[in-house]
Amino acid sequence: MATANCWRCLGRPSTQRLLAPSSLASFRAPTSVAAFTTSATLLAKDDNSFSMKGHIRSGKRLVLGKKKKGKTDRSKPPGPGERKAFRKRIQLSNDNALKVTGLPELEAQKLVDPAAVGQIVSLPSDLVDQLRTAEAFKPTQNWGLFRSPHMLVRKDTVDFLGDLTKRVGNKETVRTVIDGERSVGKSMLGLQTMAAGFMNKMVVINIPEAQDLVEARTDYSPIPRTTPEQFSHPTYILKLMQAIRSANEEILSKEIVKLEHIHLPVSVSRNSSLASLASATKEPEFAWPIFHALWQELLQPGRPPIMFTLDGLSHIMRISDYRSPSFNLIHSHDLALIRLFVEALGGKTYFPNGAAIVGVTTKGNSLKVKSMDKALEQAAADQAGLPIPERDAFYAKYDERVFEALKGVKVFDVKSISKLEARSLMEYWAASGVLRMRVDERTVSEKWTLAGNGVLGELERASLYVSRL
Amino acid sequence: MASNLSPWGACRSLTLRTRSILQHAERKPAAPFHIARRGLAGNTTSRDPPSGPGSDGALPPSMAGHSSAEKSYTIPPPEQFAPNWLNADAIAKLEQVAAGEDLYDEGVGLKFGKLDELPGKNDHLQKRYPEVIDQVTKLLMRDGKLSKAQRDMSLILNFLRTSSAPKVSPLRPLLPGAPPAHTLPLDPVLYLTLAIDSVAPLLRVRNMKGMAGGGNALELPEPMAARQRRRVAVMWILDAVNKKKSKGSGRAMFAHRVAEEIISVIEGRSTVWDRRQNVHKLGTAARANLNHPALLAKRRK
Amino acid sequence: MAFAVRSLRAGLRSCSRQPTVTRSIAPPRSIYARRTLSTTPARRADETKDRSPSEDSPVEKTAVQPNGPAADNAELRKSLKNDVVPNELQGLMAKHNPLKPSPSKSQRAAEARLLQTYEDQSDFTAEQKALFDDLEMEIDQLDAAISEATAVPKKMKKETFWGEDEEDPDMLVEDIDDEEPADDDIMSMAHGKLEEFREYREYARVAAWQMPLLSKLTRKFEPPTAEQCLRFRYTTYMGEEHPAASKVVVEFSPRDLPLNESQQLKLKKLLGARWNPETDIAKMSCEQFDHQAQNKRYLGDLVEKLVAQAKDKTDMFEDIPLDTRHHQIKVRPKFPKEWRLTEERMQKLEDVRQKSLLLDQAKEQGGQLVDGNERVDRFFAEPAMANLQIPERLNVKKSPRASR
Repeated sequence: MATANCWRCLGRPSTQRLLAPSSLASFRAPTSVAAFTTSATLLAKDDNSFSMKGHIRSGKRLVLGKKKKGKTDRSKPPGPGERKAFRKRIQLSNDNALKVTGLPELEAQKLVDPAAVGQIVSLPSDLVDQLRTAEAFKPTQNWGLFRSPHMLVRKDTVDFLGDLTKRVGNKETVRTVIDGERSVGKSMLGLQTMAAGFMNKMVVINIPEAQDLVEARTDYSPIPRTTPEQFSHPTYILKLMQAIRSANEEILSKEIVKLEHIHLPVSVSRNSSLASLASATKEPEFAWPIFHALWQELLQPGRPPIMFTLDGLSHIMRISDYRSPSFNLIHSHDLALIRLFVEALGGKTYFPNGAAIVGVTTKGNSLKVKSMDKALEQAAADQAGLPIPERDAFYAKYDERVFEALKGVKVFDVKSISKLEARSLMEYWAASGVLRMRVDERTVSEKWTLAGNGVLGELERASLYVSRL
Repeated sequence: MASNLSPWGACRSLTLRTRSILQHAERKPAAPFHIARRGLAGNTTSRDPPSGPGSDGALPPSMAGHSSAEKSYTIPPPEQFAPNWLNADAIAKLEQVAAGEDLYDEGVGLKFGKLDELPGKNDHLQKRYPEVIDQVTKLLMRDGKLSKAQRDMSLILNFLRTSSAPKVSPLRPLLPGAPPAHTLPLDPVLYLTLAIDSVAPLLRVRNMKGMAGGGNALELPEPMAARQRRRVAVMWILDAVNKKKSKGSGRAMFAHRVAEEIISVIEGRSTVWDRRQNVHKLGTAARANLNHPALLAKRRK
Repeated sequence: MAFAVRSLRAGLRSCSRQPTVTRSIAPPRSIYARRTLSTTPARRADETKDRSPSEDSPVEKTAVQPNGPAADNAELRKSLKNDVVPNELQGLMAKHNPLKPSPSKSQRAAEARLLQTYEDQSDFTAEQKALFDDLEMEIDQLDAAISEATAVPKKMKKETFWGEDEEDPDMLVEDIDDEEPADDDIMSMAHGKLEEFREYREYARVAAWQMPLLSKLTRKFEPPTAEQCLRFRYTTYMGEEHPAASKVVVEFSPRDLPLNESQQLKLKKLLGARWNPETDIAKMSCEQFDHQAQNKRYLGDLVEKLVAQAKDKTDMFEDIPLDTRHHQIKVRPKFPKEWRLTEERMQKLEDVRQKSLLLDQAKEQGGQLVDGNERVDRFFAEPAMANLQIPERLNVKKSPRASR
């Protein structure tokens, strides 16, 4: 039978239909069904179906069906952050390893003394604490195999740090990128740089893993009244500020706040120390303004020099995984903390007290950023006085901001170690009882050659591990 | 060209024999193999095999025995070498050997000097890891990812190296002759080998289908080779590891769990010991089946 | 009289027969000379025949002896002319050029009349009659042959389902005789082997006696002059048909062309991916035409056009960078010169080894040589170790400086 509103229902939903009580069936609509599609509908996975989970061993009876489901795990799951803490755990001593006696302790002078090249030095415990707070140690380094942390003073260390300390002493700004082959000891040189910073009474700020800032792992929030819009990492910056405070407490507690901070959400009196400014808040939302105030204070003349280091430079030379409110991807340089570093590295920030801005590249965990590679290549050529290589004319995706950030930086290329250095290192390993072989010229030469002519990480792999790592 | 393919052509190669060639029909019983029964050259205490009418492995009495036994043995005079330069050379060499010197000059003709340890028959270039490490690494491997397994292996060894020295339980003794426990962490390969070899079962129980009669399987204990034993032990340990819950994340987690299990094996806490005991009990019980009539009948065949 | 007339008619008939167009015109393709090996292009003779491409389609392979009947006709006509045929008839026969179109109706009537008068007037000897008879018989045979040759080719048999009727050329097995095997012959495989050896020997003969003669054809190499800056490459497939036989490739270097630096750069940009930046050689090919000469001409024109464009000053493409992405320069590592084991180097290595040995000895004597195993053993061998261990560890935990 033809209804009266038959024609109308084509145009808009009939009033009868709208008024009618919605049946249960109509609630099925929200399961997103595309209005028009050319692809077939996929059904959800049947949870009861047998799935090939885990490894199936021969000789084991395969249990199919629902019987298997009965076993439930009643034990307590690991707490939040516990699993990550296990992954990031850094062990700096091994009670089983033998004690190595007769090694000198690290001093500020040792790191710049050419006569100390090839020496193994032990790290003093307060320096270890500072470095640990600044997260200078990495879980991939082999600190945990030895009785107490020691390190090798290599030629690159002396070259780099000698230049750096001299120039910072003259209140210059050192802007350097530490580059080099994979596992050649770049992060280790970064650690030594930080050690030199701590020992030379610099304010050391370290970003241990740049990828934490760009891979959308931590929370972020827009900073009001910024153009272009910038974003901060509240929790991360709060933690960083606490680390800065506890690592540099000795210096920061001596310095007194000079500027008026009327815009800050917390009240800061004029005579309080910078350490108290750094620990002024525990609220993540106030982290960025206070961090910024601290930074401004540090830039005042008469303050100690700043050392700002960052590991994993290539991660911040790309577009991050964060999204702006308009759902556009945010460029890494629009993230406030990274912007701070990048402006310092690019020479836009003026440091009246001298500063060392050091970026460390990584080769193992990094992505290929052509802009950064080209910029570093150009910087290296400029440094060596060679003709500057031109950009690839047919690559359209060069990022101008990356070139801007790396304008005029010095590139320090970390090389492999010499046989002499390898020998002293291996003697230390053998004396610790970890390398159980006779260390003579023959074995040193053998391992040194196996390690690609003295690539430090490969030397460790060749001699410290029974099976390959 | 005309071809002449015909079946007759093939017949030309056939040879007809009118007589059979059964020449081996009357086979003589094999003469006893004397050399096998000889003692070693250096063994002065070797005895003659027992000869008696009852014993099975007796040598047949020699025919010439009667006459030679009566004769008194005279030492033959030493053979005189002719004063030849060849002989002089050989004698010099013999004297060299007798003096305990090396017959060949060391390093002559060798490009890289003499090796301390000569490679064995089955050794080759790729055999660079200890045998147990090699086997366990392969057993850890999943989906053919050897590199990953190797990383796990070295992380396990590192964990053993850094964890504190184990306390061996007197209830679960390790292999006899094991080094003291506090020396183990500095030799992680020995640590791992000791754990695996200590917990490895000595035997396995084989089920002979339907042999016990009435469709029942006959359980027979069977000794295992060293490699087999290690494999069983590692699989047990891995079973125990899979039941453990992981407390962390990252690539070191699995290695951590395995290493913990190995430490608990050394300390006697692991459930793997119970499995070993069960197998041994079963094997002891099944020992009686070795004289089962069905088995004997089969052996006689 | 009648036989004479008859024979003459037969002669005329055979003369008037025109070879059909389809069979006579198309010469087999292999007629024009192909050189086996050549670097120069094939020049074709002057186009007198005016072959159209449609004529050399493979359909016309049925033509058998295309000039056979025509030659016979000429011979016959000659003999007739010499012996018996009077002048007026000669004129008539001259008109009957077999290649000319067939006579019209009036012409045929005139022919008949002429024949009649000729029969009336002439009287032949017996010898002549016999000759005529022979001629006629020959012509009949020829006729039969011609008709067979000109006939429409037989249709191929419709293919049977299993292909039983077809002979398989690949099948080497021949019919097995039902007869007894011939004892005086060797087997077929042996025959095959013999045939193989015959073949070997044939080529051995060729190699021994004919190939040395090729040296007569050698020419001295003359390096190309500055004018010959284009290098063409042609391909021959040794007389076989091949789709790429007409392909021509030209190679040249922009350096050799009469251009200055900027013009060369523009030419390289114009050449695009055809220019190899490693060797600085451009390479272009053409196979769009049927004949090598056409392809070559095209390439020559193209190069000229490119050169003209490169010289054109209106737009020198200065804003466009030279694109070399199409070419990946492969770096082939060579054995470094410094690694060669010269006497000095061996001496140096020997010295280094000696020195390191001395160093080790000195260290060993001084007790500074570190041996991991020995250190560990010594550590555990110390009797007080077990007691000392625990307090020492506690000590370390309190202050790691204890290691000093």
